[in-house]
This record gives sequence, C-alpha cells and structure tokens, in this order.
Amino acid sequence: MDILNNLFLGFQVALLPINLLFCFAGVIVGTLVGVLPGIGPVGAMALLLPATFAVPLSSSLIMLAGIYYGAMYGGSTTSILVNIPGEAASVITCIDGYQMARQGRAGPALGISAIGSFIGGTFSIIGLMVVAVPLAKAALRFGPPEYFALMCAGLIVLTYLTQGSMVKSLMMALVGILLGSVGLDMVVGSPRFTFNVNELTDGVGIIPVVMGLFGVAEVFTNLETTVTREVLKTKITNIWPSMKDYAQTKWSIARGSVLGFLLGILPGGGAILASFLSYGIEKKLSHDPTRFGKGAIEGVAGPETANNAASGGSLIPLLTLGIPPNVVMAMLFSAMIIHGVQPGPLLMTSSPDVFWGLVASMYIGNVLLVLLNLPLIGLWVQLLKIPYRILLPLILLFCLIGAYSLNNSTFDVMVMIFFGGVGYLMRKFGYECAPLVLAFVMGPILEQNLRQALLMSHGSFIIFVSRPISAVTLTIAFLLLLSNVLPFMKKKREKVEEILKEE
Amino acid sequence: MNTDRATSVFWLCISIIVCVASYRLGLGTLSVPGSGFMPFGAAVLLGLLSLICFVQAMGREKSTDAPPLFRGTLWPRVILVFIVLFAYARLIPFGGYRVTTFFLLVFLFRIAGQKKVWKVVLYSFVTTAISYYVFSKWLNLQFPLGPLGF
Repeated sequence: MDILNNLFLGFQVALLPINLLFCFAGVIVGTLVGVLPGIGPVGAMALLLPATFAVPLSSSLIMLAGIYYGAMYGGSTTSILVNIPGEAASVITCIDGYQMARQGRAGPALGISAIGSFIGGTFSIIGLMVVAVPLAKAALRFGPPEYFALMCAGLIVLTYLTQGSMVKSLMMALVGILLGSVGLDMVVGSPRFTFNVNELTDGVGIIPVVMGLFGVAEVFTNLETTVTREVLKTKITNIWPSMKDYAQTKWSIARGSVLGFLLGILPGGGAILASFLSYGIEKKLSHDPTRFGKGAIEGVAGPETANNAASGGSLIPLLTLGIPPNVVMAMLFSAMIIHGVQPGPLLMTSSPDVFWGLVASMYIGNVLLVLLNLPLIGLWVQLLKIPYRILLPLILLFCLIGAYSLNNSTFDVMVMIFFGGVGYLMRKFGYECAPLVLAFVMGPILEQNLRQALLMSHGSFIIFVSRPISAVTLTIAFLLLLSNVLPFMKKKREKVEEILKEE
Repeated sequence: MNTDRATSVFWLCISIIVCVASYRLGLGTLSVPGSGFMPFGAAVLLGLLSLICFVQAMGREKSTDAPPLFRGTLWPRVILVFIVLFAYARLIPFGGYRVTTFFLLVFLFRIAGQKKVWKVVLYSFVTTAISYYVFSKWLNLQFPLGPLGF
C-alpha cells in the first residue's frame, strides 16, 4: 500500500508540466544520440547537465534518466538499418537486426525492439519499486567500513567485467582515484595537487572530464577514418510484428527483462553486458541455433529488452546505497551532488518527491518512447542520412559551449579538450574510460569512508574484516581479483571473452 | 618497444611522481591519515600494476606481432584539430565568440570533408549565428566579447 501511495506522489511530481517537458526533452535527446553515432548517452548527459542547474533536481534527473533509456531505444535503429550501433549496448542487435532488414523485415525488427524495450523498461521500474525500499532500510545500518568495501567491490567488478585487460582497467580506476583527489582535502581543508591553479581548488570538474573522454575523444577517433554510413534502402512497412513473431519472442522478452534487471543492479554490469548475455542465452536455448546471425527475431528481442531492463536496475545501487554502478549512473550521481542532494538510503525519506518522481517519470518516458519510436520511425531514418561532415563540427561546437557554460570560463574548455586527447590515446592503447570516470566520481567518498573507518578503529584494518557485510563484500572482490590470476580461471574468462567476440 | 610496455613505463613514472608529491603532503598515521595517505596508496598500487603490465607485455611481445596503432589512419588530422581547439580556447577571450567560432567552424567543416567553399562559409555563418542567439539571447549565457564589441 505504501508503494502505491508513494507512486501516486511520484506521478503528481512527474505529471507537472515542467517535468513532462523535461521528460519529453530527455527521451527525444536520448533517441537522437542513440540513433546518431558520434556521441553516446554519457557525453549527451554531460553536455546537458549544465543546462539543468537552474531547474529543480527532479526535472534535472527526469531529463538525464530519459536520455539514458532513450538512447537504449534509439540505438537499435542504427543497428538494424545501418549495421552500425548507435551506442555500445546495441552492438549485438546488429547481427540479426540488420539481417532481418536485408530480408525486408526491418519493420518487425524495429517493432519488436521497441515493444521489448518497453516491456523490459517497465519490468525494471516495477523491480526498482519493490527492491529499493527494503534495500534502503538495510543500508541505513551501513557504516564507513561497509561503504568502503562496497565501493571497492564495485570498482573491482567493473574492471573484471570490462573487455580487455583487467590490469589496465584497474590502473585506470587508480588514475581516477588520483584525479578525484585533486582539490581541497575534505578533512583538513588544505589544497592537494592544485599546482597553484585557482580553478583546481574545487577539483577537476566531472563534466569537462566526461565530455572530453566520451564526446571529444569519440570525434577524434572518427576523424582518424573516413566515416561512411549507408542506410539500407528498404521500405519500412508493417511495423507491428506478426502473431508468429510474438509467439517466437515472448520468452526471449521475459528472459531479457529478468536478466537485464539483475545485471543492471550489478556494479559494472549495465546495459552492454545484459544485451550480450541475453543474446548468448537465446542462442543456447533456441531449438535451431543456426538461425542466429541470419535474421532470428529472438536475437533482436532478447538483447533489446535486456539493455532497457538494465537501465532501470542500475538505478537501485545509486538511489538506495548512493553508489553509482556504472558511468551513466555516475552522471546522475554528479547531478544530485551539484544540486546539494546526497544519494543514498536517506534519499527516499528526505526527498521522496525526487525518488518517486523519477520512478514515475520512467513509466511516462517509456510510453513516450514507444510513441516516438514506432510511428515516427521514418523521421529517425531521415536523421540517419545527415552526413558526418556536418555532424562532426556541430558535436564539437556543442561540447565547447557546454564546457564553457559551466563557469563561463575557458579553463573548463581546455580541461575538456585535454581529456579529449587523453581519451583518444586511451582508446588507441586499449585503456578503458569507464573505470577512470567511475573511480573519479567515487574517489572522494571512498577516501572519506576509508579515513573515517581508520579513525573508528584507531588505525586497524581489522575493522574491514570484522564486520560481516564488509568482510563478505571484500572477500567477493578478492576472489574476483584472484580469478584473474589463477591460470584455470583466467583461461575460462578468456574463453568467454572469445565467445563474446565471436558473437 | 610495444605499446603496452611504453604505456606501463609512462604510468610507472606518474606513480613515482605522485608518491613523492603525496609524501610531501603528509601521510599522517594509520589512526589519523593525512592528506597524502590515499593518493600515496593509490599511486603505489598504480606503480605495482604498471610493473605487472610491463612484465605481461614482455611475455606477449615474443608471441604476437601487433600492427602499429597509427599506420593507415588519418592521425595528423586529430593532432591538427586538437591544436586548433586549444588555440580556440585561448583566443576566444580576445577575439569574441562570434568571430572566433566562425573561423573555428570554417576549419572544422573543411577538415570534416565539406568540399565546396561557399557551403563551408554558409554553414559556419549560420551555425555561429544560431548558436549565438540560442545560447546567448535565449539561455543568457555570457559569451566573451571581442575588441570590436561582438
């Protein structure tokens, strides 16, 4: 009954005209960045975050979340019609989605991906409502050692799940922590690593760093090659899947919803992993796995459902524990901090309008996305025809203006360009940006909790293993680290990575 | 030297520099950690991981022959754009938003592959004008003014 009352409050907030407008703007921008390669949801969120400084936190979060799940919807369009994923979580949709389009079945492919996304998204919101309240109550008993252990485990799981070298990912997480320590020391108030630069006293800004690493670096990478996109010349008719399609995909959608939601909660999991695993499971459970790769509709329905379900699931650690599980959630975390609200177990009691308003807006956003993506698919296809030679200067200009607008200062612009160069080199040399950004955001809180825990224990590290929650969490993290070192586990992991690459 | 070896040496150097700087900040004690405590710990771990990465890369170098990362790519374009963007950030307080942005866009449209000069100039002018009016007039963003007042 409490949930229904809270949801009613949420709808009262989400249905305010300003919030409806921001929700609409979020899902439109999200679909746009999902459709257009060149800037992903993280870059777009960083770009638009300064524009939300003047509005209430609820509106800001509603828009930013809308960008995220909107991008999950939009990403499938380019995967199906161009065979280029609009964002990373739609990579796997290319395999069967594009084949369906080549066989003249672009309509049902786009249709089932929108329907699956809607069901997955809605399922994850219901899951969020059910799980968040008891988890937040349990989290009230957490102290600094538990938070430190959870954040360490989160970072280790993220580095474990990233593709490529785990050692390199861990290195980037440590670089993120170092970057996060620039500025005033929170405990004693003395400056650290500021090099007498006044602008660094408040630390390095998260927005210029993210815009650089995810927006400018993407443009730099595309500049290296001549980008050509060829939209498949196919008539998109009969967008609604047939009864046979529904029968074939009903269990794929159900499995994708559960899998996506659960993997979304996992630190470092999120939409990308959910879509890949969903595809693998569908292929494994299929009566005829040879159809996969040749236009199997389950290969579109499962992953597209899973990536949207993960977007709702990943809100759970952020809103209940105050720990962002992935980079996108790190952006929402930053938005809350900028607005002076601390995400965590007290959020539901101190700002119920923010929490439940966001949850309710996701219902509305999902309905808006189905309305936007199915009848207006022709419009999105037209957008795909915008040549990259026009898009590239516009993306860079928006990034420059976005960075400048933070403090009306060119210092942030230079920081962004610098990190654009850093991000480009990181991509070239096989270093991942996600652990760096997540550790950068969590670094100050991680340090605060470590120092508080050591103060509590008078300098003894035993406190981290004498309390059950932190002991279990740290043991899991340690085992994950160990699994990357032990030869038989390492081989198994490499085998899984190979299979994923083949898929 | 392969790329992983080179980058691990780079990160090792960074970790040493940060270790020294953190030590100077003050490590404090375990019961009362100082400002340099956390960065020092992170830098030590970074150094250790760089060494592991270096050793792993040495082992790989014998078995695989990775292609050079920059061969066959248009990387000089990236460097050029990087320098021009930095120059833009330095020049905008003196040249003003509209003039500096117009020239930046001319360069960007051209390097992105727009062939016809009149199209480059037209697109740059229209984009500058629209962006100025949207951000400055509607959203009240304070862009720098040039010496001529625009």
